[in-house]
Amino acid sequence: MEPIKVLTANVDKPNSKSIEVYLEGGGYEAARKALQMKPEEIVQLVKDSELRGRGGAGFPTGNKWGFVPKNAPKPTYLLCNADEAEPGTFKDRVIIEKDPHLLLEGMIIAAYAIASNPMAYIYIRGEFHYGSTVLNKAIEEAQAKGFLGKNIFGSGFDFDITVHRGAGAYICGEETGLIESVEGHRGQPRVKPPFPAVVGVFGGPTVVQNVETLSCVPFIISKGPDWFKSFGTPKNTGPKLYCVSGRVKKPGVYEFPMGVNLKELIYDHCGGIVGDRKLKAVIPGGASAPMLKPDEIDLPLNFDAVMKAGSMLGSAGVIVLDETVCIVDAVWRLSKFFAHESCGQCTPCREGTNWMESILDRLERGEGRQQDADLLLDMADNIGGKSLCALGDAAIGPVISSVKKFRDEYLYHVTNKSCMPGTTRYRRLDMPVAAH
Amino acid sequence: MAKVTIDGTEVEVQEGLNVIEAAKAADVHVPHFCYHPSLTVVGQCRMCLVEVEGMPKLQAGCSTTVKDGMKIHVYNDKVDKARKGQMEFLLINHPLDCPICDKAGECPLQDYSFNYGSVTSRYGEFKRTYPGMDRTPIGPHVVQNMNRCIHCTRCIRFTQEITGTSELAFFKRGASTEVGVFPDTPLDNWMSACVTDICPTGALTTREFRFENRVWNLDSAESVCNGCDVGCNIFIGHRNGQIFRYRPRVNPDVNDHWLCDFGRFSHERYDTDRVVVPKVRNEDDYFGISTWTEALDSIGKAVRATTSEKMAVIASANMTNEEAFLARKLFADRLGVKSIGVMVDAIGPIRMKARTEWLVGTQGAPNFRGVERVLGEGTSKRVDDLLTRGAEGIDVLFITDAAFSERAKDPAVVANLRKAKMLVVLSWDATHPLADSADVVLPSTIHAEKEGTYTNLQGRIQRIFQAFPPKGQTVTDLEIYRRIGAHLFPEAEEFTTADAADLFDDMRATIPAMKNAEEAAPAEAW
Amino acid sequence: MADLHPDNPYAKDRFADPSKKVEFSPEAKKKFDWILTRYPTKEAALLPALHLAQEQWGWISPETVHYVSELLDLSPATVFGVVSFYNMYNQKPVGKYHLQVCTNLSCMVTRAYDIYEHLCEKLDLKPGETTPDGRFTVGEVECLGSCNTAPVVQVNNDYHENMSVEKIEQLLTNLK
Repeated sequence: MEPIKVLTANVDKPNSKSIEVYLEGGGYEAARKALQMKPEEIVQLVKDSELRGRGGAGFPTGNKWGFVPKNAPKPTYLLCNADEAEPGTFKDRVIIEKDPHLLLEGMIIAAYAIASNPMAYIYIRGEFHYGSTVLNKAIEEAQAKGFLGKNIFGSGFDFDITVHRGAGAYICGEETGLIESVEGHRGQPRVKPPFPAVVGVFGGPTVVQNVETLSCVPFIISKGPDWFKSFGTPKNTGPKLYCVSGRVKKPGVYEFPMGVNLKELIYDHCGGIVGDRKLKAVIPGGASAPMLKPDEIDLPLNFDAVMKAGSMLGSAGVIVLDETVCIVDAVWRLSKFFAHESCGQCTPCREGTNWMESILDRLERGEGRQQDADLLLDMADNIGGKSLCALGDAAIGPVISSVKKFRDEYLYHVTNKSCMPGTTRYRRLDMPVAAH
Repeated sequence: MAKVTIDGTEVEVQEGLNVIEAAKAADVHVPHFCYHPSLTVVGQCRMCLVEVEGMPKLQAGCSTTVKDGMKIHVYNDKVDKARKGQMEFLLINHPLDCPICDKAGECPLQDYSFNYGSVTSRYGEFKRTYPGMDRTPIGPHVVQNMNRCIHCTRCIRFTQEITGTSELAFFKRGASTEVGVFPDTPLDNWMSACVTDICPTGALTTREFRFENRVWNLDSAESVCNGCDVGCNIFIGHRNGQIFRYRPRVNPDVNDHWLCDFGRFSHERYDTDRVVVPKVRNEDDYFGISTWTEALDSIGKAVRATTSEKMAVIASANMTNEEAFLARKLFADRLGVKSIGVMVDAIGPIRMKARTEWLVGTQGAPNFRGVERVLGEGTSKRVDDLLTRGAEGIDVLFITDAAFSERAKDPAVVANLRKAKMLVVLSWDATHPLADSADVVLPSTIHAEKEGTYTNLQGRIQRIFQAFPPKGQTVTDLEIYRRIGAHLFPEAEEFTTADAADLFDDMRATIPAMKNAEEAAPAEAW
Repeated sequence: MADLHPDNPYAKDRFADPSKKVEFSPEAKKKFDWILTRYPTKEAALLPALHLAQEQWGWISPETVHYVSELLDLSPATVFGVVSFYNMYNQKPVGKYHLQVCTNLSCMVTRAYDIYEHLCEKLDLKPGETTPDGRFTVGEVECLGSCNTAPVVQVNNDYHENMSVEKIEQLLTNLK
């Protein structure tokens, strides 16, 4: 499969973030066209396109928009989730920094389709300081052109966007955590139901969409759902940004039609493994996706196929681990991440993620116990499906898969009190560790 | 209405109720920590997980609302395993210091650990501790031990949603999450100690009750707080005739689950020297301990030597309705005293959150409305005259409770009252100035020692129960009136008994305003 | 609130000093007023307001917590709850250059820990500490979303990508 340039069509152009460059490529024409349509028609087009949310869950976007109740007592809100913090994921950053107007145009169309309140928010993670300045600049440009503000394109539709910077919390990428954070609270996910589509930010119905999802919307309007569906396979349609990082020769963001073969992606497009070493494991969808072994990677990277293989496409952040990586160390690092990013409100996630990290750290330190592997599995069972939000389920993905698929490595740590020969632990154990 | 099946029992409940509440209808208890009927649902503790047929994952009972036809399993193997898992998570970092914890014995965490805890621990790491937060006073009444906290956020939600003061919040995140106050802004509101009631662990305890007694050694009596006219329902925790604490008793119409700090600690006023024997002043102006016979004799002598016009009675808003009724029978009906009055101090305002409304207490005694209703409206003017102008020309002045007003502690007021030829005072407080300057002091009872009813600001008549018998030669106030009455009118029928229940029935029959009292104070609560 | 336990984390330096008055600069105040117009509730302006405060003072001091809580009609505990929830709000003063090394998986397998450990040893710092001259603070940070250019070191707001021990040496000498 050959790489395509749809979402990334502009990114290589000089000064691609400016509105002039975007307009040259026919920018904002889709929004102009959309605002002459009826909102229901847009929702139908998006439904027809079979666009699925690119943030991780892969929920059909058109359906999501259709859930928004008409005549709700509070105004409807559109939130853009630009809190890209899943380890191994860096696709939204490309759009934000290189082609911000694509996102803004997508937001205008989406807001019109769900009859949004005149103010929408882009929740961008605090670390993307540069990205937020680019977005703010883009919003100013769009306002100056009259694409944002009162009565845009003469349609009578008022719409404006505010960039809301986060401040360093992965959990704010969770829909309701993000909503809480926009409201100025701690980013603790809410209990569902009520779902955001009914009661979300500021009490109004809310649609939260990922940057890449919103960036797909202008193409659906301008080129039609059939063109959009020409990429990928039924139910897994459209162009998709894949992030490849870790031990590959050419890490980066690659755009393919949905469903590029994982093996092909790693070996053909990313140049294979660094030092032409053997592959050990691939995490196909960001830190929370269960690991795949080398014999499992000959599969198309779309929502359904990866799910079938026992993992998940998630945010399509492919992390490649070669044979020198100590799996226990790698899983420890991911567990440390989840323990650090757990919001601390629900029991299994707060206590469980930290406990898992402690056990994995102890294994690395040569203090492992024979029962630790089974303890990890049982504990993961007590977290999975029991936590308040999806972070608990995310945290157990790498642990369960690695214990099941690399049990020998765990046991080697217990019996030999060191990493397997030929694998490396990257950190020194005597370094002070920052408290969470 | 929705028909739901809970552990095989089909019940019909209100649609939209959550599973925890719906299960109560089927007499099934769903274990929970963070859920509280009067606070928002947050679904954090994950202890209330239940299985709902047709849903792949276990659902939190607090946040799942019942729908018609739902089949819910509160107890089965799958749920059991999940709950045991949550219990393990909660206990791995809990100090398990029940033997030195004040909550032990009434601690949900301890109780559920018997059902879902494991005897052995799989936790091989160091327990998380919060150095310096293990015995921290976070406010005037509340002491925090963060190590015991299970992060249920009930206390945080209480300060956010009930008092609106938000002194407490979550700080940090993940496993380091802690509940705390920001320095300089202590947990100092008028209901702060309620957080210790709703805390499902020993993380929050009151300074006043800390280390005072083990809860299983305390007896409990249902009563009503006498701090103000809201009339919050309480349990009196007592042992050996000593009150150790008040605890709110749930009444959605009055105080819901709450109790204000003033009321909660108002029993401290009883930590004083009690009057336990009658005292009588003799001809030589010697005021010494005496006997009931002597005291009644000297009252009888004085009453017989004067006329009803020269007698006055200051009733108290601390009296129960029954006491006021018997006092009325004695003083007004039998002795013909016209000058009977009752007054009450202004207080607060103290706000109290009932389930649906705020009540505002403004009177410093529990039963002004009831006593006034029994004795007749608009009598406080008479008391005021006595206090300000003096009891000049009064031969016998009865004061039914020395603590009828804070003003009675003022030396000038005492001197004014003292102008009466004979001053008879009922008092439980031996240190009260009136108890020193009276001619006859009769040992009366605190509200934990008697039974009867109070009428609160809503007009609601609420019963109080005797927690422990009166001390020494003290008798209940009803018995005092009965003894005086029987002494003065030996043949009178109404002074043969001092039974509160009989008087209550009698009162309902006699006083039109009390007619519906039975509905307000249901018999099953008697 | 007298007699706090001496070890209590809220006992000493965590108390606001009433003699220290903090106030937004005129520009910051203007920005703050604009922020208020962008949200339907006052409370929603908390995160941007704290960002503003941190831009001005470099960290969120107890005095700042009180100041922001008054501006937004929130309780100080609520504000501090938010400050301590998010990583990026510094609860202690930080150095002129806040060096944060991403050590998450993609960076780790490209040897980010070498950089982190080198920095800690070279500057003789534990995570979160600042050099005595007030120039550098070192810390570990979770994924910065730049895994294709791993390892990444964030210096204040800027990303330094494709780092190595040699490059960080060079960077340290450049940061004066």
